[in-house]
Amino acid sequence: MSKQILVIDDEKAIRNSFALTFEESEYMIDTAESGEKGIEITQKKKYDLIFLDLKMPGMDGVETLRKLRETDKDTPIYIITAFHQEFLDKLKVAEEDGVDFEVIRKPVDSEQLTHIVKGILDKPGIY
Amino acid sequence: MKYKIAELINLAKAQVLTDSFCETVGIASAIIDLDGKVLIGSRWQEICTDFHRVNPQTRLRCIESDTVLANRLLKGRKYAIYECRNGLTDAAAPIVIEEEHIANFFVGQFFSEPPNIEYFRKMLREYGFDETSYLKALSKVPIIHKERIEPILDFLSGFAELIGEMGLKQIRQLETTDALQENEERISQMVKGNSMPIFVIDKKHIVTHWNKACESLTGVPSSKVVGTKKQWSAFYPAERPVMADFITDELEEEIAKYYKSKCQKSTLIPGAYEAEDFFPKVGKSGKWLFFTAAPLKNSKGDVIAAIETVQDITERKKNEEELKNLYKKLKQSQTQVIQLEKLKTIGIMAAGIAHELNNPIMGIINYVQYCLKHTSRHDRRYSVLRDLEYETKRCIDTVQNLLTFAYGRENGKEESQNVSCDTLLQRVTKLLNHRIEKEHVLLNYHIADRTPEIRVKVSQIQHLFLNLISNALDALNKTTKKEINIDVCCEGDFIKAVIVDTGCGIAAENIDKIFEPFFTTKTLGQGTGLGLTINQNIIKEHGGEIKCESNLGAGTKFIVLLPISKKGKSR
Repeated sequence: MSKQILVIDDEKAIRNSFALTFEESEYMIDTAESGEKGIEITQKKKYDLIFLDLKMPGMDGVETLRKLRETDKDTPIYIITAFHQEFLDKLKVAEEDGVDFEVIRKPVDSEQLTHIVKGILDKPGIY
Repeated sequence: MKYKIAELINLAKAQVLTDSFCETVGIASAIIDLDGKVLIGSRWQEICTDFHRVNPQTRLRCIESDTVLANRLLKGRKYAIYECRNGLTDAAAPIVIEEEHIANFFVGQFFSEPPNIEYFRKMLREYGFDETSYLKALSKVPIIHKERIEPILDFLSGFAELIGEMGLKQIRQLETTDALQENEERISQMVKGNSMPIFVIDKKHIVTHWNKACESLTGVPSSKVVGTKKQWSAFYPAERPVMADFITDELEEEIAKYYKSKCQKSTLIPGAYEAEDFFPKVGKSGKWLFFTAAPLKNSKGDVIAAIETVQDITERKKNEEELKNLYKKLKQSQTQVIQLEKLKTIGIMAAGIAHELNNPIMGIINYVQYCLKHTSRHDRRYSVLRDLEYETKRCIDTVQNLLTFAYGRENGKEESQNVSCDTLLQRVTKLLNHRIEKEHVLLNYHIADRTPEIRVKVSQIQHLFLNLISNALDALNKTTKKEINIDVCCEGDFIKAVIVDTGCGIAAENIDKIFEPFFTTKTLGQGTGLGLTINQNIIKEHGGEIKCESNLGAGTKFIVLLPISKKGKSR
């Protein structure tokens, strides 16, 4: 069974970047355009990897992260961000609270995306 | 009355002259002041002295006669002739000196016509005079006609007035001399006892006074200058007029010529000038002096000397200078605050723009790469897409650099961190790469092996390197050889970064000014003149050092020393 990846980002360009990069790959990409939608999807389906934006209208990335971690402690969550200071501070608090996540800086091209995804999902020993 | 005749005329000498005159003319004369006091008497008639003035009754008549004459003269008459009640004639003329009637010249007694002997015989019987001697005395009284009396009186009173006026002149001269001496004495005392340095020169430019305060200010003893024209020697290395010299000669235009804008007319003393200037010769290392020269005039208003006061204002000047420096420093830090504030704003703006660009750029790069993936290498569009990918990556780099650069300024405060100098220089050169390529500049970068990390505020040091390399690029603008050499090595507890360009260089007279705020040789709009000032502050804040060596036309070398981190040191 192919690995399931969820991308939560309000920007279509980001969602498309993932979708196009992993088209015809062994990875299945689902996308959600908001934190609320993302949480809704994860309740129905189990993912191997989640990419999450920080700056989103409605529920922001950090709130979405905390909510996701309430029910799921294991799925690797990669915060993909353009480093907005306000959200970084909030993220730091979450980290201090023991919430587990990684951070990737935008922009990321197809090569790097493939590299990251393969690095995480093809080496199950790490996570 | 201001003067008494006795003060004006040398009575003893006048007596001799009057005596010989009267002897010649054969007439008695006297100068009698307005109080009736006989000052000079000549050839009194025996008939008067031995008889009339001896007997109390006839004596009364004598005095009455004098008084009547005097009264007549007081009424403004030129002279008066009176027959005394003792039967003789008197005449008198006033002595007027400077329109003041101060005494009378009397002549007498005489007969204006041959005497009536019977009258006098009657007198001698009445008052018991000895007949023989009385008549003998009577015969001695001269007979002078009235017409002759007038010129005699004119001569005598004129003579009295002449010698009176001479006497007056002499007295006046004596008074003036006294006054001058008194003035001189007063000036001397004023100058001597004054705590302000003062010297006085006379009309011939010879120093007449040089007080103690002047000695201690100039170090020149009065014995060396008083009586000479060497007043200049205390102030100037070569002979030239001092302010007082111009004042004695009343050469106001020369003052303006010599002292220019440093001098002005005194607002307190008419005819005086004041100025301030630095005198390298005075004191150990020169002094600032404020000096005022004023004319000394006699009663006619002629300048006869000049007095100059000299104040040591070095301390005041020093304080002013200090105040000026403080103000300058204040202004500097103020502009630096403004500049940093501006940089901060620019940083925040750049970061904002970069953030906003990140999402679309990520879309673009991935779209391009998707297209590339699905385009055959033989397709003509493949190479175009490759170019598009390359250009997009350049955009990404620029945005990244901008963000890295702006990072840390966003909060205004930045913490020091350990970082390698190499990382910072790489980041900066990458940011300037486009310019370096476009302007065909050859950048040689060399870093020594295993250079330890420095502990710095990253964005500040990046800013410093960015500024220095940008300046180097600016300097290469018009030169044919376009090279920048960056060399990084370890020197003691510091990392030494040397940035050398082959540009236009800095003129020797400007090299000391390059760190001054607002100093720039760039044209308007090319620079604010604050870059190096900020750099110097950044370096100071880090406990480092920045130095510049340059030769006009041969390029510039900037040496930056930054402290190695403790971690780096222990390594």
